[in-house]
Amino acid sequence: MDALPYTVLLIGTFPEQRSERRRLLTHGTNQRFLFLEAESATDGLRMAQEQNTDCIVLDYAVPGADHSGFLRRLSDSARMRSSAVVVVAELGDENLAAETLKHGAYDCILREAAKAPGAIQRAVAGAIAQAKFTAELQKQHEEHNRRLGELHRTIGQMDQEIRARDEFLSITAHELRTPIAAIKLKLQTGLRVLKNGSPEQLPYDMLRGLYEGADRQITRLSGLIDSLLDLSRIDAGYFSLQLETVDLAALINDVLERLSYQLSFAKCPVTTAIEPGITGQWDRLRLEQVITNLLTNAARYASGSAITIQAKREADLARIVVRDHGPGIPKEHHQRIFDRYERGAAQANDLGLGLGLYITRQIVIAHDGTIEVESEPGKGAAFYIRLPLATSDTKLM
Amino acid sequence: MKTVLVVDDEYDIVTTLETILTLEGYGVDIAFHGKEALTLLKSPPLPDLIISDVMMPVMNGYELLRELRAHEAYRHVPVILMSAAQIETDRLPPGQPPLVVRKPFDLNWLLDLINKTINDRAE
Repeated sequence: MDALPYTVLLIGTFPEQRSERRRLLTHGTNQRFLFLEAESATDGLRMAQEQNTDCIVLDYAVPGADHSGFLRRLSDSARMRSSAVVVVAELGDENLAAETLKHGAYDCILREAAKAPGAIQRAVAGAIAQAKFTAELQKQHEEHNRRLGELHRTIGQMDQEIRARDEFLSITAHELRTPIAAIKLKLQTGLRVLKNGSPEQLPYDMLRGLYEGADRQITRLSGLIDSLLDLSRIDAGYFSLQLETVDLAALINDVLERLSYQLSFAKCPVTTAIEPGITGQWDRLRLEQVITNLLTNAARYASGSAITIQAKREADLARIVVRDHGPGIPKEHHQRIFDRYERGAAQANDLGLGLGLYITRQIVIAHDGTIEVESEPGKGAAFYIRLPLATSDTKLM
Repeated sequence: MKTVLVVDDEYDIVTTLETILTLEGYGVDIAFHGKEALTLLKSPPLPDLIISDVMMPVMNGYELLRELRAHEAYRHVPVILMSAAQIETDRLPPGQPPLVVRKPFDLNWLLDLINKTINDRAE
């Protein structure tokens, strides 16, 4: 037996009738009740809407109770508040009972049954149990829907990620094929020369050049693979820096020397304005990667024009500017060039900038720095990097 | 002597092709991207073949092909496109699709193709 009292709303025109119902319900049982009473259909409906009840006992003789829609509205209000309606129809028959059930009542007590405690007690207890059960079911249903929604979102996300991964793989394959094509071309050229040429007149310089070129491309291929690994590390959150004391001028000059071949082929004379003595706690290899990336982009995109590199100290920052005098980058691309590109974004792909700027930016951010581009079509492009001279301990992205 | 215009932003590819094509007896001009190629085409004589990469800065292979087709003077020059990725057919200009070579390619096979293409056209 439930220890908590049942709140029961009695809707009936006559006080004696309601009082009799109270008596019947409490007769011979330990169940405690809290009774609310209404003497009209309108009041009854209002109380059903406003009060928390466990059960509503409606006398069908109440004027308006049999009006179409009333019972439905009463039952709906009851259900919204985890309650249920029991109809008492002393003058009704089985047809009426069926009708009331159709309109949402849990049970209908007819004629003599209305005069004894048994039927009404069972009906009320049953209605309350039913209402609780329905409420519980509804809660579970909502919970399931919520979880289903979450699952769908997760699946949607995963779908997206798989698609992005697929695109990435095909872009990767593309990126790797270019250096491989160069290596193959050089080796096959060498083979052809050896095959067709006479042994006494081997063009040594040419052959040596081919080997060197192939070797250079393998270095590049290896660097590309590292970039791609970087990318997956960045994705997985494992991107960390190895900090050491770095002399900025020396680093920039190292990179310039390594790239001198490429820069002269691209007919890009380089002017530098590097303040000596700027040292910082940076990841040397990563910083080289950044400078290399900016310079190779300039050589690629602004070939035939001058490049300037400037490095200055600004308070506790190092400011590096790499400027070219090529065609420039339209404003609408300024954000995009730093993004990982997707195949759909034709422009980024065509710019051939690939992953470089994306990784460059990640490296700069990992150093707590900033990178910006200033550019207008026809006016070249300038990349501004600001790096704090000291970064906090090895950062994890 | 037959001449070939090689267009590619990859230093190693464009210079090595220049080397081998020269050894094979062709006259060779090189350009770093489409725009440079068009500049070179302005000075006669026209090449007997243009072999061009697709992904290049400033003006890519698709755009170059479009320009070539748009000019009365250039449209009869046979074009071979080289590409590391799948050619996006919706980016090709209308008309006869160009010959396409996937990178990495077999050099001997490419030299045969170049030879055949130039000779076919000559007939």
